[in-house]
Amino acid sequence: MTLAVHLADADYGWVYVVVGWSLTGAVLAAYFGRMALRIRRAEKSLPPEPER
Amino acid sequence: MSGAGATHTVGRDRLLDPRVSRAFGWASLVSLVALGLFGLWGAPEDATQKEAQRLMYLHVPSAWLAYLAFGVTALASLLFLWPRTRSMVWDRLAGASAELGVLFTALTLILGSLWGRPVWGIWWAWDARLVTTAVLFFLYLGYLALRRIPTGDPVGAGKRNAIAALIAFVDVPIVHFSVEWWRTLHQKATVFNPQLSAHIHGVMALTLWIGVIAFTILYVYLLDRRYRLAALEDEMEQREVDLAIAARVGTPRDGGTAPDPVEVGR
Repeated sequence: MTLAVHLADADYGWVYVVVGWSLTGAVLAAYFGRMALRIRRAEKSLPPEPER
Repeated sequence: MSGAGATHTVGRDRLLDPRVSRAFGWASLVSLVALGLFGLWGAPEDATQKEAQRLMYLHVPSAWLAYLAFGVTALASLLFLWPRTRSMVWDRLAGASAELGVLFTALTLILGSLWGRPVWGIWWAWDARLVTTAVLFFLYLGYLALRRIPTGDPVGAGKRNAIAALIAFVDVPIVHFSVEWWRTLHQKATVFNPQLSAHIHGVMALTLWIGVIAFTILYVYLLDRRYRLAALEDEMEQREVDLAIAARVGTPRDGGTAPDPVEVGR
């Protein structure tokens, strides 16, 4: 860990960029995906909209 | 909402027309791809921060979205508290926007920390901007926890939620002006600071704007989806209550004439 941090401090800022961008993409995709699944599940458990 | 009886606490079940919502979904996808292309390849490397500066194309839009989301939560809470505009729609909108605000505040803190390590040499500092942002995160996390406390009085719960949201919002201007009020490691306002008149490389400025626009479109889309989910969950809960009452009283569930809790609460 110490070595990795030391290397990144010098000229390996791109390591942090890769981690930051990947993390942001993963968090947003996971949040959206989970929400889409919950919406689909809720819509299935309720009767069709015209009948409500 | 159509139907009677079962829908008295649900109100409007969609924020946007489904076609408009889909358009926002595609627009956010396209703009995020553009942000990725510009942020990772199009924009040049910073002279002093080098590659780490590319984190700013996510950090700044995330911080902007946190402000926007908590601003919408505060406005919706005010509209709920005001008797003339009181509707469960505002309570639901406030909750949906606060959840997004917490998500983007967390991203702001994490991305800022990832940028701080190579540029400042530290992951975290007890700096006024950083601390007030962390406080903001925990305040709204508490607000979301408060919303989950079950209650038999939706209007009372809505008022409680709205007051909590407005108290939490006090921290937003403190976060924003913290860099002016205290001496901080975090830089002061840069892009729109007339005293600084920062000269930002054209492609860098463009990428920052793409980020802000892409995240704003994404916010509208996610807010619509989160609102839709909240409305469906409210409807499911209401149907369960109606079925339980119908089973106990022995009347058909659609014949219920339960009063609108919003009307009762006025």
